[in-house]
Amino acid sequence: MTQQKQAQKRSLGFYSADPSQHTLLEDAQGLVTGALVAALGFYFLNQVGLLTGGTAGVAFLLHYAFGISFGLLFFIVNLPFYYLSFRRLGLAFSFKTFIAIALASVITEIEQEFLLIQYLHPAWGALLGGLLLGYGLLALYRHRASLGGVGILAIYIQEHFGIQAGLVQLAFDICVMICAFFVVAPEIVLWSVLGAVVLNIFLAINHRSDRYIVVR
Amino acid sequence: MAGEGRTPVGFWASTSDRHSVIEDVQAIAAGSMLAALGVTMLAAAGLLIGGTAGLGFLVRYSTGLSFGLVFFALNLPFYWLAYRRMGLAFTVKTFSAVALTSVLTEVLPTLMGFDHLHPVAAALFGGLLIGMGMLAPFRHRASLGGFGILALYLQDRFGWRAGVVQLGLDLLVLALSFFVANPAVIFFSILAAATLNLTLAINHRTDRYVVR
Repeated sequence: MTQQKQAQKRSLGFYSADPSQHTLLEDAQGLVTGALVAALGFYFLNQVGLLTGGTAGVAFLLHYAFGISFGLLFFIVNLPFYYLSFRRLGLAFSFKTFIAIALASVITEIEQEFLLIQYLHPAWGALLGGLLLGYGLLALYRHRASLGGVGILAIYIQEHFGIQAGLVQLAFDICVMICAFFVVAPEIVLWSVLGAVVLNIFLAINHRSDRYIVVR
Repeated sequence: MAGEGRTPVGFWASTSDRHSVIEDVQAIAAGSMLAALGVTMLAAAGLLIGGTAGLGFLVRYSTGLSFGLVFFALNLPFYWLAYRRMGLAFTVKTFSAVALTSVLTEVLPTLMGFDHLHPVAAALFGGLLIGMGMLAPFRHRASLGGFGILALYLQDRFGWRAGVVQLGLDLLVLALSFFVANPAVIFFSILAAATLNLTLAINHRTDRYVVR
């Protein structure tokens, strides 16, 4: 009864009358939005030669070390994690995450056709890149998806042990940054750390399932 | 009771139904940053958008005045409505967000420049970034400009979707843009405005993001 009334009140609510469920269309826009914004973040980082944490950080390391395309590497590095994802977080989560990662990989690669950056200070690259990745990941997290193996691991740990996803990622990212010293210049690593800190603080503050209440 | 909604490392505090000051600050900083990046991308491709930002672009393209300054000045009359209808906290947060966005839109172009920016990419990314940038202050009970305040007020008062109200106002701004831009630019600007407003209409729901 109350639900019916609520549905009637929301005269323009053709997407979903139920606040606790995302519709397919809403999930689709969540994934596309998250992937687009995250891909822009990757692109900014790539343009100034920065890294980030997570599997993307591993992909950046390999990209800078061997010159293989970042999008391809990012897609491949994430493949092993789908098993954990499928076992622990279910088919819907794994499928959405696969779509998001595939989209982000492809968009990052084709972005250079549409968007060329003339100059970008590494500090701003780090700040904007970190923030964009944070926004993108937040959208994906809230639609029960992720953007990489460490994210999957982090969400799993948050749901089972109550340790915030942002903190788990921070630990992994520190390892990536230590490896980065062998591949890129020290000041680039420092700016990368700044970007990763921005990203992880943003997620740690904002990813709370008690506030964004959609359950699926 | 007070500790119930706390997270294990909740030094930024806060129960699940209330934002702490530091959370509001980071939301306004992050939202302004994203919106300013969106504006920078639109400006780099010579596109327009709706809202008071659209009016800012109109004045900028027709007179050459700085966008940040015009955007800041145009929003001043709306703070009265904001203060009367939405209260002091909302008004202070909104003023901070608008001021920060104004400054950042002036600073960003000196720190980054585009060699080549396709209008479709500018419209999609610009619209999306401004939409997501506005979503953060909206969810923290603030706004990023007069039309947003008006739209939020109408949503609270009459239950009209903020995104839909803004779409109407934006159509008005875009009609005015025909005086300063060619049809191709208008087309891509509409794409940007549609992206922005869809992002808001789908995602700004007080029944989902439950914090006041």
